[in-house]
Amino acid sequence: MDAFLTRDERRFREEIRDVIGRILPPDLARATRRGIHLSREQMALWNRLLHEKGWGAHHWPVEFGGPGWTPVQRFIFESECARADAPPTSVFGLYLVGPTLYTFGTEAQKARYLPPILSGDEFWCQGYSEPDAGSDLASLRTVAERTEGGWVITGQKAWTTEGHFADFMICLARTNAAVKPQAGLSLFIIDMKSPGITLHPVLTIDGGHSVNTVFLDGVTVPDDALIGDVDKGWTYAKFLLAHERTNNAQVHRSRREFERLKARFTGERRTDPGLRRRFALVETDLAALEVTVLRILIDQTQGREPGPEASIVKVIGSELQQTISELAMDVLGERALELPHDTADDEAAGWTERHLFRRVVTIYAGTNEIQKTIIAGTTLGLR
Amino acid sequence: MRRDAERLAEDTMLRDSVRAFLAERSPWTHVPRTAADLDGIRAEAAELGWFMMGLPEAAGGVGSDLEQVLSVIEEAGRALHPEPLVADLLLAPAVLPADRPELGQLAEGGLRFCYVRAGVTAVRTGSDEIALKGTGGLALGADRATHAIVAVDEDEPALFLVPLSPGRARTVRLIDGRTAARIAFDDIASQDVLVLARGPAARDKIAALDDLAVSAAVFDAVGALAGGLELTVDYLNQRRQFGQTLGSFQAVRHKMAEVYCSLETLRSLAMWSAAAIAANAPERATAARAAKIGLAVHGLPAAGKMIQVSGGIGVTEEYRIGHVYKRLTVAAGLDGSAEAKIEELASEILGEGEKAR
Ligand SMILES: Cc1cc2nc3c(=O)[nH]c(=O)nc-3n(C[C@H](O)[C@H](O)[C@H](O)COP(=O)(O)OP(=O)(O)OC[C@H]3O[C@@H](n4cnc5c(N)ncnc54)[C@H](O)[C@@H]3O)c2cc1C
Repeated sequence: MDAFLTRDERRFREEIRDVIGRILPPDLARATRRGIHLSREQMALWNRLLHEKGWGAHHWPVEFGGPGWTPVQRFIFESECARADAPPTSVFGLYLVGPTLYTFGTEAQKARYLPPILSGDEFWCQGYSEPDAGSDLASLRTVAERTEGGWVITGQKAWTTEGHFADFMICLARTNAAVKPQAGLSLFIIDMKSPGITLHPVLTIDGGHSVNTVFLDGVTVPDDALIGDVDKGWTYAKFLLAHERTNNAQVHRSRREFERLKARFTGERRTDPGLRRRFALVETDLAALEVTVLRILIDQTQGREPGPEASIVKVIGSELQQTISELAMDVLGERALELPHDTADDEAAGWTERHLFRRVVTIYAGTNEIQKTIIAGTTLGLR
Repeated sequence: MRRDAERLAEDTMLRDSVRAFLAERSPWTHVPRTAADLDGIRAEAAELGWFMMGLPEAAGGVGSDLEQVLSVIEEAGRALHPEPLVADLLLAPAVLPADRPELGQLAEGGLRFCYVRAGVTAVRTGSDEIALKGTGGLALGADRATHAIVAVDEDEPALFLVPLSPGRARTVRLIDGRTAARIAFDDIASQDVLVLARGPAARDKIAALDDLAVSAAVFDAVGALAGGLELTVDYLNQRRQFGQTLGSFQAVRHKMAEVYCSLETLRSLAMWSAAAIAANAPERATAARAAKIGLAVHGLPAAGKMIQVSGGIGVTEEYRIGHVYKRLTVAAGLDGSAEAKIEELASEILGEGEKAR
């Protein structure tokens, strides 16, 4: 993709590569290759190391602690992090809660919650989905009722990623049952140590534990736990979905994994024409996705609104993630069938675990069917 | 892609004017155009300065950059304009020395170029004498071209400009309404040709021309597909079955969302190849390969999906979407198949496999 980068941007890349090479502990890189569910300590450590460089939240505005990079510089930074096998940082604090609070929160909320997200000291989880409210999120039933000086929240949240080690939950709850579903929702901050919260772990098909069912049984939160205005939660949630679309493409992780897979593609299999063909097709699609993401970011860097192509990167990126891990399974052969916990082959373990968990990427963050419906309606104007 | 506001405004103006011109002078019709009709359009396009766009300023060029010339190609694709423009607008200006008189004639629309790849060899007939032999591959516009840019890609590569006498090649009508020819070179001696490059320099130029030709063909396809998408969205919003518009059925909507994903994927690959050509970046050949692959694996199936959602009308000669499909079929099949590019790309990223290890 060098053809799209300016000389300054290529120099910036050298600098970033150099620093990451020095500060990333090798065992963190190894853990990132080995599996997909990292511990809080591992994610926090990397966040802290980045924070020491002033890069804890590389996409935040300068006034809240961001480094003031252009969107293209962020692209380069993310690509370098992936290239070095740096662990992902926790998405909820950095991508969801931070932007929600600095856009809609009070000064007190910003002062209290933003710095520990930036430094990696506090973790968040996202309490939106419920057992009966998945794609149809607005039908959620968790209720927040006003009391003296606060709110009492009751309901059940499903799929709460990292809920078991999060300090806080950003929770979407119904505050008005009399209006249409979207118009009666509000966003709250819930301290995960509050009385009335019970967590049940849910194991995913890779055997890992990252998601939980969370029961909220009359959980009391203070007045200032409300984010923005009452009944505006849906608007805030949608605003954010529209703003972090390129992140959902996961293009840098895909590029890194694909490069590693090429290196692993050795021996007799390397001459298999069917596999070689698949490699070439992935190379093509991955390059195309990188350009599509860059198109969006260059528009933003030059002060333009991203074009309609911004609506497609989640669908394409998530399908590509699955295509790559499917290819990896075929490259690894029988090795990939061993239970990740048992195998001595670290790299194979990582691939297998990722492959199984990857079925989720076309489901979460708005299923690809829902995305296609949005593309057809909003982007193409089909009626 | 990095364009300042002024350049962007210029781009938009150019694109709008080309689109408006083609909509008026070359509205789509399934009836094959007469040569006289095409000549008339060409003369007007020449007055608008199309053929000066790609020229260096010394040769009367107007300082358009590659992106702008490619946007004209894309618009021609959108209109399914049957006149081949790539060799005139891009290839000839890229290889002819700035002081050649042909460029001046080209600027006025008076010459027509074609690019002949594969099949031609240069045989030494004397110390400084050569003769071109063999029949070139199927080349768009070669039936009406006044000059052929001929690439000889052998041990001693060379690039020639060969004036063509009228009627030298039999017209081959293509499925998409365009015409082409395979030119036989068995009687061309060196005094009749201009040597544009020889040896390693020729090899580099041929590689650059090939990449440029592919990139332009993909821009043409992107235009055709984008035009087809607009047409199909309109159609789906109008036609009703079961008391509702076709565009309201989710099976149809999702297919169209996939078509849009394919279109923008192809556009990204085209833009990558253009950026790599403009910067003469090391990734230039990779990008061109990927663009051609994208044309076959994303572009063509997307055109097929649009026929499907259009129903029976989609397979009729009088409706445009089938012609979009044919335009892409031709683009994907000319100048080496996408399958060959897939194998090339595999070798590039993986090496030759066991043999080479
Ligand atoms: C591992 C994992 C982690 C997650 N983490 C979180 C989290 O941290 N916080 C959180 O709030 N949520 C989280 N989610 C929830 C996720 O956002 C939902 O799973 C998702 O929104 C889909 O909802 P659902 O699972 O109920 O599927 P459903 O909505 O029941 O959908 C089932 C199938 O039907 C299709 N479908 C549904 N409606 C339509 C329609 N109108 N048209 C066409 N097809 C349709 C869907 O596309 C899907 O294929 C997580 C999910 C998983 C699996």
